[in-house]
Amino acid sequence: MIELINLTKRYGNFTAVDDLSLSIGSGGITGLLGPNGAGKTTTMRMITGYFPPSAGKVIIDGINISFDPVAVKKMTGYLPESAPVYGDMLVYDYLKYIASVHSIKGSERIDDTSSMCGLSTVMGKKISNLSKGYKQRVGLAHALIHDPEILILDEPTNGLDPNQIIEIRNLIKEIGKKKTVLLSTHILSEVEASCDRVIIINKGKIAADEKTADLSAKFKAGNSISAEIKYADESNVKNALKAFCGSVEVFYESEGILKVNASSERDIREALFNCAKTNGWVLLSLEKEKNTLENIFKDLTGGSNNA
Amino acid sequence: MLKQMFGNPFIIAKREVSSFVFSPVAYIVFTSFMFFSGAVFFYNYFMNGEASLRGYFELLPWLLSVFIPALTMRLFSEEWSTGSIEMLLTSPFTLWEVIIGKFSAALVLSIMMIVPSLLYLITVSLTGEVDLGVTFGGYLGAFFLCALYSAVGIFISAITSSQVISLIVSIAVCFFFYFVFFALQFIPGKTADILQFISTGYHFRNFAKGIVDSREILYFISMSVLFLFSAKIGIDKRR
Repeated sequence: MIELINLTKRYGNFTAVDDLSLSIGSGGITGLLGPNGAGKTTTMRMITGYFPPSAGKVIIDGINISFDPVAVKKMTGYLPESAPVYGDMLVYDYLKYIASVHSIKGSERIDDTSSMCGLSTVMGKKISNLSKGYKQRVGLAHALIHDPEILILDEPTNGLDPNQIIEIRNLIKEIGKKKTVLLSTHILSEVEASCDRVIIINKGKIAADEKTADLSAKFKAGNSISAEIKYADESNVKNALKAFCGSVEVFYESEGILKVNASSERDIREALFNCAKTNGWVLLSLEKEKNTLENIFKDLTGGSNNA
Repeated sequence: MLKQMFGNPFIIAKREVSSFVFSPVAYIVFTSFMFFSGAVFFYNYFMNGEASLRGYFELLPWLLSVFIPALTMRLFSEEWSTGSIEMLLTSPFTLWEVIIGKFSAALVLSIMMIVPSLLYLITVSLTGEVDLGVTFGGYLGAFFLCALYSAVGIFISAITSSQVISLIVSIAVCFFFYFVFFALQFIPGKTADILQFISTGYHFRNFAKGIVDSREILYFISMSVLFLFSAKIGIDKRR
């Protein structure tokens, strides 16, 4: 459905998107994840035809966007970051205007879209008087009104309160069952919550491209555990654990309680438990650390690119 | 081909006109324009005892130089500053469609501004003889002047996200094109010829005298197209 071939965007000497190639099939939700300034918005703007790439091609449903931008724009819905909609219009008038832009006659589609986006109660209000959450929904309605095959959302839950985030996420999930959705975010839990596939980009390049489920498995950094042990001596614990752990770190966390961070090739929880039993230690806690998206993200993007 | 390039600019024009007409700015602009143009007309009518629109048409270019930029200043500048330009340009419009749409809106609004002056025409016809040639020429000239100044305003608005800058620079550019005409007497030779050719004042005067010449029409059309084309280049460079 969406195909990017060697896509590049340069601003003077700065390369925002660097030789990016990817292909997104029909249906499902794909998350574009990256730190601020990674090139997410720039990529989306090229996909939606807001500006042309410096090099490379954007092909949507077999059509090169440089050759027939209007045809592509007809089948894509786009919600830019911060949903810049005309503040001086009433919600209803705005949706009516957008409907006319897409040559949609009658009010049926306007009603459907507004109830889908939860706008029914604010139809008579001026957009500039709406809260951020409602403005975002108007932007979403703008993107959805012509029932596009492809939906491109730039940080759709940005600035919303937790309840609104859940609502919007559910809506996106619902849409993702039938349409192709590409959303960008720098919030990792969002990707875990709603995306089928995640593409991590950093400095304009793809750092990882995996199914959300596979991502954590692939980047599992061995078996790390952390434990708290009472009634034990620091050096004793260290020596005992060295027998079966790759790396061990032992220190007093508070009076009488030892904190242990250890990792190994295999699961060492059982061995640790048995070791504690024979030595008469009291195991206060024993936890296996999951390699979360946060850690993967930090590894892949170097953690220092918060520019 | 034409349909492909220009599509249906009517949708954009309609939105722009209605959004302007429902804003307080419209009332300020329209009423102050009526106040000034009325003052000019009735000064001429009562103080000079002249039952004609001659004085009105003489000062019209000055008034339009100020008031049309007030109509056009927000057309693109506001879109740039709020970011809504992104939604506009990713809608299924061609860039020409957007520009022509906004240009038509500006033209319609400026005509709306001039239409009340038909009342002066009635006043004149009640007390004296209406010179049809001069009146027709004057209105035709006013129409082309509106088109050109709208195009200028659209161009400036397209290249700045500040409405204030858009307003002031547009006024300056409109003034310049009119003013050049008065500066001609201080400028020698060939330069004067060129300046005379680009001056809106020179070409408008002929209209106001009741002379409708294809050269004048061609001048206004080509200058308007030039500015609209510059607006397109400006937007392409900026986005």
